[in-house]
Amino acid sequence: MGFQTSGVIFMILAYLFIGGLVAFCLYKLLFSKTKK
Amino acid sequence: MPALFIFAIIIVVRVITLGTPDPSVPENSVSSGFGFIWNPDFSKLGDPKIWLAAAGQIFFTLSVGMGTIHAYASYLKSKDDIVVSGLSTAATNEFAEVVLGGSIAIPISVAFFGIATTTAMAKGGSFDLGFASMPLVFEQIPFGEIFGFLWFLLLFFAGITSSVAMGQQVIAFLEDEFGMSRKKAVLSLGFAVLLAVQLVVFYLKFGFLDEMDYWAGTFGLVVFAFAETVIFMWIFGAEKAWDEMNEGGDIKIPRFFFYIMKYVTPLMLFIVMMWWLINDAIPILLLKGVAEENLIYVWGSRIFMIIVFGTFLYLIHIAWKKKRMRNGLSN
Repeated sequence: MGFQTSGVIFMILAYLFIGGLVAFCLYKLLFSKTKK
Repeated sequence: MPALFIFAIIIVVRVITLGTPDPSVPENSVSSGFGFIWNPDFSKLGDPKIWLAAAGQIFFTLSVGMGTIHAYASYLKSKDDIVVSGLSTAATNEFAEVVLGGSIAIPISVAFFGIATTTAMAKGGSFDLGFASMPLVFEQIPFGEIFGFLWFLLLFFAGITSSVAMGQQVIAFLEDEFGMSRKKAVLSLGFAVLLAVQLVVFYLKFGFLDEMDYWAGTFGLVVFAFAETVIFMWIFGAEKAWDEMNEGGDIKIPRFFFYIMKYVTPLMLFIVMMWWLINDAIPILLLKGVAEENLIYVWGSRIFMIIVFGTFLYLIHIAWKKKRMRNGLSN
């Protein structure tokens, strides 16, 4: 079957999306301006 | 938890650098393994079985539909930020299971055994893939003992942290409703789990755990998640629920999700359950296709689940009665 182009694109998009979410959450958790 | 991520990253690096372990069989490679996971097959989107499995999987990993979230939520103050916490939980979970998990077991299994064998193993349940195929793989790579040790330690950490989370609602229930000390509640639950787990260990190969996983870990979660969504968005009230969720949040949830939670989620879950009722309910309930010698164990598994469920219902009934009596006395 191999690794098709569409598969590579899906994988990259998923990794970017999840990585982006993790980075965003880390940023919010570490540098949140809201006083707790 | 950081140890889990460190071990996983070390194993992922090892998997990616494996390439094609046997050059005489070029189609068995790590790249084919990634293709097996990621090459899209859009025809599967029309198969409700996939939706049921996917819903069960994500609910299980996020502990939705099993009471854990409610137990954790009860410790929060109304102004606590649940938006960023919720998003962080989901994002970290996806990072662990899609980015890291998806880059280990299946790619390495395809690289060593090929797609056909991996598919057969995956059909035997994720247990076969994680616990049966991985040791065979570790036997064949340099320093396999070390990577094998890391892999099973990783599964142990993942399992134990999830178990702590899943036991919390029972511990809180015993503490709050029966006045047990935390130590006594933990010991009681630990003892009950120790007894119950013997059945799973001894009857594993007869499908005892798979049956529990199907009803309690997949189908049951969809049913409870549907009930929770309806209670939260329709009975408690969608606007009130929305205000509760956003209160104290560092970011606001996009309004788009309001409509997803109110209409799309319950409707989708309802369709999946109805589809199951029409197409799959009778053969699954009558255990069509289950090997003759396993039938008694699978029925045993069902009876065991009914007993556990019944015990909890009875305990809730007692707790309810006690509470009403207390309220009656205080009035």
